[in-house]
Amino acid sequence: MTLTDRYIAAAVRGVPADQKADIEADIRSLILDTMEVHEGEVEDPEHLERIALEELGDPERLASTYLDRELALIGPRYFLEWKRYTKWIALLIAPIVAVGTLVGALAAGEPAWESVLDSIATTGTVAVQIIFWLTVAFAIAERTGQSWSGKWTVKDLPEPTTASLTMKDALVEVVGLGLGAGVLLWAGLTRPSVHINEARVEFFHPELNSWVLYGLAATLIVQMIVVLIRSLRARYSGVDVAASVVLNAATLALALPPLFNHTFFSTDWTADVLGEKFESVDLGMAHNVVAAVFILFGIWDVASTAYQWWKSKR
Amino acid sequence: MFGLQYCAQHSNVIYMVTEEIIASHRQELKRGTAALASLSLLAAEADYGYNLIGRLAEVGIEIEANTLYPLLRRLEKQGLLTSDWDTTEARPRKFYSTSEDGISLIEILRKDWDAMTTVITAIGGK
Repeated sequence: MTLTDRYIAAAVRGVPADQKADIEADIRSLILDTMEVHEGEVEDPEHLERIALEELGDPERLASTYLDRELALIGPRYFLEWKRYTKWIALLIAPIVAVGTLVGALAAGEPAWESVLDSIATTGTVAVQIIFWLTVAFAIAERTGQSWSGKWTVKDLPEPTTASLTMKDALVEVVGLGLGAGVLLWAGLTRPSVHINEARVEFFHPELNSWVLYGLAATLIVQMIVVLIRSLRARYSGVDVAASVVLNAATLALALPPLFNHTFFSTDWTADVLGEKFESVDLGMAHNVVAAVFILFGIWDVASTAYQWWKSKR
Repeated sequence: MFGLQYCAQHSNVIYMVTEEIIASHRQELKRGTAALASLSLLAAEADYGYNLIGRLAEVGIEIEANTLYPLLRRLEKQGLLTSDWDTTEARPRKFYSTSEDGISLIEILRKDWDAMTTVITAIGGK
């Protein structure tokens, strides 16, 4: 088999059957013509062949020039759609998977750090899978010319983004909320405690129902979804204000009763951990301070969301 | 002739027309002329690929074989060229000549070209 035969075989490999013979003959005469041009430059015929083939370049590229095929996985026609869909779907699904896996692992009784590693690994895998399959779908669309998006209209213009509503901020917020939810779920499941003088001292008050902690975690998860949807819309809406009111009311409804009854944090641990010196520490006061912080934060959150909504309407 | 660089000054910023910029605009301008020139030359006289490269070069249009051969085949598929294998020489060669459709297309494109020349001349500029 000569170099020319190998070159032609490589060129027509992906060519549709009905055009194969035609293109093959054309490329063969192109090679012979090119060799003829360089005749006399070198003695060795195989050297001449090599010069001609290298001048013609990558056989697959030559074949795609014959077929007028785009040499790109996803060409300019679909690139922007591919970029947008991949970004949004990955950003929407990844945090949900992260929290879901974390909670599942904790519920199954895995140690906290193993659960976190599990969550990171699963989220990474899912994100890679999403990106991979979307890319495959778009690559197929590119080759079959299938189009599912209409003509661009001004309705597709992204909403103007306020400075306080960038994707980066949203991601930081989502990660923070996810961590908070994870810690609360973990605390509810494991009821963290320390061993002091061979006695088990809980961090939370024994009367505090774990469901309070789960409930608080749930508000954070819902908040996470709200933040994600808002960053997708890139704009505050009335729904954001309503969500802020409902979520803060739920948080206060869950947290305030045990705080006011001084049954949120365990009172044992101050005496046992800090020793007699701090016996006089009044944990009732600490409960009241935390309760005040919850209330003030709730008011501030509702007010600032309402203000952002009002500002975005102008 | 294009080795020198053209400079223009606008509000304290000096813009230079580099050779790179010239080359990219020139390429943009020439895109499509290879097809029209090939159709015209093959309307005058049937030819095979490499000889046509020489004839194009004579009139100042440089094109490489790995671009021209696929171009000729595409023009043939569009019905603008017809081809015949010439077997009288040492080895068979594919000779192209412009079809009736090809000649009509030349007429249409020439009119566009002339109109464009008129417009560009009329617009003028320094």
